[in-house]
Amino acid sequence: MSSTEQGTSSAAPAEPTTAPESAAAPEVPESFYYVHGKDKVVHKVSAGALQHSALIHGMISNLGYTEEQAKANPFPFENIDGDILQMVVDWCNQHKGKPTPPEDTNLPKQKEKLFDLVLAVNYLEIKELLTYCCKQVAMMVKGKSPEEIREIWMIPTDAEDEAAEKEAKKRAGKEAAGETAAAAGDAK
Amino acid sequence: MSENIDLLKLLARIDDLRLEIREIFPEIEEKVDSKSSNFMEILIEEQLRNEETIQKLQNEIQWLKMGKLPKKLEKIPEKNWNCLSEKLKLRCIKFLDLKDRLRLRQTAHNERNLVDFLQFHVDEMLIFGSQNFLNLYKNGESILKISWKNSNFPKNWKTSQILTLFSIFKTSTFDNCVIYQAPNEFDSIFQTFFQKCPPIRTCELFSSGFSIITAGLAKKCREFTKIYECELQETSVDILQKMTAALHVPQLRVLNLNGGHAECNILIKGWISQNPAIRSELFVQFNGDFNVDKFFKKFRKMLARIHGEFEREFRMTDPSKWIFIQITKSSSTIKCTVVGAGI
Repeated sequence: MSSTEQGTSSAAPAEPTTAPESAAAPEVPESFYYVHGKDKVVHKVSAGALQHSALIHGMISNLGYTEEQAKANPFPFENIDGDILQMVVDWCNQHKGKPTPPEDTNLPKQKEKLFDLVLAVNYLEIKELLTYCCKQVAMMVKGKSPEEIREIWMIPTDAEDEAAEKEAKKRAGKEAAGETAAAAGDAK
Repeated sequence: MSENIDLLKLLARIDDLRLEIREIFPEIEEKVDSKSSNFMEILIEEQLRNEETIQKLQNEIQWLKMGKLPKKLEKIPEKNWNCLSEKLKLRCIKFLDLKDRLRLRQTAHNERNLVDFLQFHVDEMLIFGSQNFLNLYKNGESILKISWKNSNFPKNWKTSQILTLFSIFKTSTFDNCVIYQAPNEFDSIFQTFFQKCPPIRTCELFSSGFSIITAGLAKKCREFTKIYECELQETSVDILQKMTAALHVPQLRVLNLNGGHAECNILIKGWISQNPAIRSELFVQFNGDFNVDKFFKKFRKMLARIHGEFEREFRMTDPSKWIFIQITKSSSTIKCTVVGAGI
């Protein structure tokens, strides 16, 4: 579905391996765009698949980004890990032009990856996938006791929160004192 | 001779050192093999590396002295619930059922606020006052049952099921709240209960019978239709006045009222004295042989300035205030709707 290339954005992207269109439908050449995450691995995605992401779709339609420009300068998403972006791209390709099913069983079950995915999907504004991910996050604590929920979601207790706040204030105070001392030293 | 022995010892020591270096820095081995086996060079290289290490360690000590964690010891924060924005958290909470929301509410203050903000919709809440039992329904299914029979309320109310009950009132919005009860039963419990009870967000409050429980709930409910199905003893002046006395009541329906002119008069007067807002409604269904038409002939003389057949303008006790009421009546029902007001 999606082709992944190791290397920089200038590397020539591989040919897409999209599903064959029905024989009766007139063949319209599909345009492709390129995205890369934190690991600089370039992913080739069809325009149809990118329709899911309101952010990228907006960038293409509002900025008039052509296929050639996209090839030379892939969309950079430095705040998204490579494997997470790969997951998102795969999902977009799988659900290209299809009605989204009520359940998606292919979502990651690991806690960290799921939260990463939620943040990435929220950033890319993929509504359907965000709904699945949020549902998956909610399912993590279904039927669990408050203590278990706190452990699974790593929710600090009110006391821990207060202690962390105090610590942060203390540290900020120390840093400020250090800076003033350094400034006084420089002045001397 | 001794000098030679010393030299041999030194060489042996260098050999040992070389082995140690290879163990600690295996990458040197390649360089040693590829370049030369000059021990002095290796030693110099090692010394330089040691100096680098010492410098790094000194930097780290400096960091620690300043109360900061050295960069390599800083943990890369694991992505978790706290990384999500409030908006995303609410999106996730939306998928939790009432029981899970109540549990999440207990984890931390912030989570409690989020759960309370995102109200859970319940179709129907049935309160069986005489049995101290509550049942919540959504989409035709019972989602939660609570019994507070053995709660040490009001002594240990914070640890009792009553607290769960209050949490439900805080986190949920109800279409309909139905109270089945024996009138005035458990009043001593419920008087304290309703002092602490949070407001209940219900569209309709249906009470089979009227008691302190109903009066308390009515006061705590917001923006709802009150429906009272009366029983014989509830035609007393005191209870009828209480029925109309709850504040912010746009709709009041009194069903199955066993009464006559006096009771109807009390209800209408009581309702009007609450300054009902425009579109507020009072619906009274009489039980028995009460003649609505006859009542209105008398009623008209007593209170009304006529504006058409079924429209009345009532003067309030304060002459500057007035309300304009439209009355629809049948043989056994009266419906009063406020269509204008000047207060």
